[in-house]
Amino acid sequence: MQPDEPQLVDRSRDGDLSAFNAIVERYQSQVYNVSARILGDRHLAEDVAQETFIKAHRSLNGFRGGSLRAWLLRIASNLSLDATRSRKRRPAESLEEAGERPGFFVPSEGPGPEQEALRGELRETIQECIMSLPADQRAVVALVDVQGLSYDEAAEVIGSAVGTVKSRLARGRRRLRDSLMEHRELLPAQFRQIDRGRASDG
Amino acid sequence: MVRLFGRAEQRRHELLSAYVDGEVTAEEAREVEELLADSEDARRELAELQATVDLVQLLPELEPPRSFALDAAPKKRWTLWWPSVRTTGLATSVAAMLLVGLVAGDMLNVLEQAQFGGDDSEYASDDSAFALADAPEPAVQESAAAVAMDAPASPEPEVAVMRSVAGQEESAQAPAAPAAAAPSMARIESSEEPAPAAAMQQDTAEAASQTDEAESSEEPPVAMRQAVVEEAPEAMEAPTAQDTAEQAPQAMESQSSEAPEAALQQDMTEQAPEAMEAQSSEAAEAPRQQDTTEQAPLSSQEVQADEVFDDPDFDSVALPLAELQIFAAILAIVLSGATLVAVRRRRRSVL
Repeated sequence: MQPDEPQLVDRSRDGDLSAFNAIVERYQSQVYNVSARILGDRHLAEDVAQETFIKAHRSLNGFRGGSLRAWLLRIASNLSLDATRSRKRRPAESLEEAGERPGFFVPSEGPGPEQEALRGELRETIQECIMSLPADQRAVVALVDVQGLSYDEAAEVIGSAVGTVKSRLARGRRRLRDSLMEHRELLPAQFRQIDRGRASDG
Repeated sequence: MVRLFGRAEQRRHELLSAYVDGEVTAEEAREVEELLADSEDARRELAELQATVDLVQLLPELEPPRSFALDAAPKKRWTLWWPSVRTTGLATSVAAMLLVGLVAGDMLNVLEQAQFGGDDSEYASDDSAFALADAPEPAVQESAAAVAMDAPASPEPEVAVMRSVAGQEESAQAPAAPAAAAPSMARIESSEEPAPAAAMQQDTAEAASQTDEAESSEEPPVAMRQAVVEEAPEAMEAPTAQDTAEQAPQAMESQSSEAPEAALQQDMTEQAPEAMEAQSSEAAEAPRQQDTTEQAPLSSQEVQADEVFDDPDFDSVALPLAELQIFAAILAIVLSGATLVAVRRRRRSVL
């Protein structure tokens, strides 16, 4: 049986590195994924994920209980947004990067029909649409829609009220819908149908 | 109205969005269902939201390229404690107010000196028509009497400061006449008393007046001067004649505020030469003189100035006003820098 989280945290605080690495193993995928979705860049996400755990180890004493996952994701999303900002300060580079961003590495698992449809360009497009959101909305979309966090936990991550999560998510989704509509030729049938219904109504 | 409508709209979007996630209360769920039953738009919006969420959720989970486990415990890094934006902001505004206060106090008193010297030139020039227009005779005489009584009796710096900072109402009470009284008293005093302090006073006053001689744009009325002459002997007898002498410029200032254009002109033209004049006389004379000249610009220092004159041993009380100003300026700049850093840090931690 796996030791529970508070125990791991306590042992980590006492200097047990293997206990801390157990925490790392448990959450590194989520930390990496949230960072990657906010940053839209896997190399940066890798750096941010590593930095997240280094920072977490340093500030373990600052963890006051609650959800360890939320705490780690909070560090990760803060670092990701920092990285986004510092990249924005060099606009020439960021433009080039946006044009030539390498696609995400997808583990080759048995592709279902939907996943098949989502390959390549569409995946890129969705990520680009997420990237077009303002940072605060992007973080909430990454947490709730991509990572599947509850509103409560997402609120803990961003350090705001649940109401803030709700409104950022609602705005972010509407915006996302609008930018996805601009690439309707890539969208699966389900989405195009809605689009058609809308066009005939309007 | 539009805003209200916008708010209701936003609430509807939020409700529908939360409904997709099942993050609604039973009551909100009923509300959404009613909305969906009534509104085609709401139904379409919900479908679009659902499709968007489905699409995003179909993004594959990314495999981390490597393990992020730590090889060794990272060194504890010393993190700089930084005060909050509220703290640094408050400190900055306090420093800024201090600076403004010091500079304003300094300027007001430089003006005083300008007036102080300017009065001397009155006697050299008979051109008083200009000032007559500014200060109606009866008012001047009345208030002259009032302040002549007032002046020696108010050695507290608070009073002095209040008066110098006063608005129009108070400046109406502060007469123009004692201004003229000041130099004459100072001169009489200095001629009768061989005390070095008094001599110095005259030095300064006369040095200052030389720069002003050319600008006799603000001449007090003849009546005023007469009032001064009447007042002068009394003031001379008082041990704190200095008080009156130093408060007088404030009165002049008040007069200036009644004639805004003239005052402004004088502000601009006289401040710089005056300050220089004061400083050069400082430099030329003994350290003792520095006390006098440095005290003079600060109205809240009148009592101290008096003490200097009264007590020959008491000669190092001068407030280094210039240094204080520089200090306050540096403090304000440093603190505003700290505030900027705090703002950045907060923005970073907000997410």
